[in-house]
Amino acid sequence: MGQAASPSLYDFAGGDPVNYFDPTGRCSQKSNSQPFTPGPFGPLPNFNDPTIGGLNPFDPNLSAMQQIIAENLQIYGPGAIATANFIAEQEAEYQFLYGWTAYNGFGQEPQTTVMQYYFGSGAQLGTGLGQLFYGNTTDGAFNTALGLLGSALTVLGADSLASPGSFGGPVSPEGNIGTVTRYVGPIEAQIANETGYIPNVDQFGVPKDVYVTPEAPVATPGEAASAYQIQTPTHVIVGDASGISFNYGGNVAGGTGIEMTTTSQIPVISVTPFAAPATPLVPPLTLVPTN
Amino acid sequence: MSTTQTFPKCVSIRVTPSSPPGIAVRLQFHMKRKNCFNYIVFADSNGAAEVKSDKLLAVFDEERSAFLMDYENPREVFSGKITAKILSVKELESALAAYEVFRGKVSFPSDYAEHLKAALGLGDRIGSHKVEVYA
Repeated sequence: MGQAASPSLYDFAGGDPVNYFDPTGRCSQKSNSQPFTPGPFGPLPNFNDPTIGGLNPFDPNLSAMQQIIAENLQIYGPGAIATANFIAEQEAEYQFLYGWTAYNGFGQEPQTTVMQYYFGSGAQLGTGLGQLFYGNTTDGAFNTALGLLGSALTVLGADSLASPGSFGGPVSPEGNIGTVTRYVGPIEAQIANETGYIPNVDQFGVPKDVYVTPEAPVATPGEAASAYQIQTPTHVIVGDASGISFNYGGNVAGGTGIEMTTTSQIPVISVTPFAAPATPLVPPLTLVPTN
Repeated sequence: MSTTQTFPKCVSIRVTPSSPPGIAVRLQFHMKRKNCFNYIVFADSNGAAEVKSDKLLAVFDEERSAFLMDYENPREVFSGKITAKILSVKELESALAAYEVFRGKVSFPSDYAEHLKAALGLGDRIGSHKVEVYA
């Protein structure tokens, strides 16, 4: 694990995964954020405190979180990287990420970020995409909340950070990416309906990268066009991502969405047209009496 | 810092040595972001073929509009690199299979399927030929 020909898991980050990160896989760089300090966002919450915000992510009564055992959690400032050390290993990944979805409600403006998490044994290393939420909460007792949207959940394999050129490299099939979303025009919608697949070749039969997002479908074509910097779509396809390897493409340039690519055919789960814009009501005719 | 490359007004190919007509050549237009655009031409009895940019861009625009997430505007992200490759039997079969899926939905060159089948009929006779591309 770690980079090829290297015994260290953390070489990608200069041996210091807390303060350095390597989003491109080419060279590590200093995190652009400082460790979280008390200030506008309030004190660093103690996530082991079962009273925080009225919810405890490690509450054994919450079934999805039962196996989570946090040894140490460090949260950095807005836009930064969160790291967490766990006693539990691979099987805890999903529970950890899922657990934080409980805090979505506390967030204000979501900010897409990359989460890196390290396991206490040093034997496992993973990376997830998520949404970092911060800001004041409604009850004032939980000033910083970290949330991951389940639909945006991506877990990378332990070896994947060694892949140069793209952050994370191939996403492991066990990455809990249940579905992917793809915005399309009427032609691709028709093809998807007819074949049951998102085509992975162009019209000349040449293999291509198929761009999708792990994020849930947005509500309007305008939102999709803006988030993914594409022409306005007419349909949204939800695809079955199980067993398919993806390359994480990061944030869309100029947009807010996250994109991933695969060269595989993605089975179609659903093809849904965006709702047509509401037709303006025609004002009632006014009858004018004639003489 | 990279600059935008002007899309060529015309692209031509030459297959050598002298070849039977109908050899299929895939032109690949490399982009700075997202997928390349492809186009297939068929060499004449002189081993030559050419295609104008308006035809290429019309096909590329159609492809981009059909598959919104996979392409960017070729006028903005063309890298300036064009490669040409004589299609193998396997690639011809793939092109024919794609034609069956995409026909009636996007535009193809005239008599495209017939030309593909004819190229397929050439089989391995094209194995030693080379192709050069001019823009």
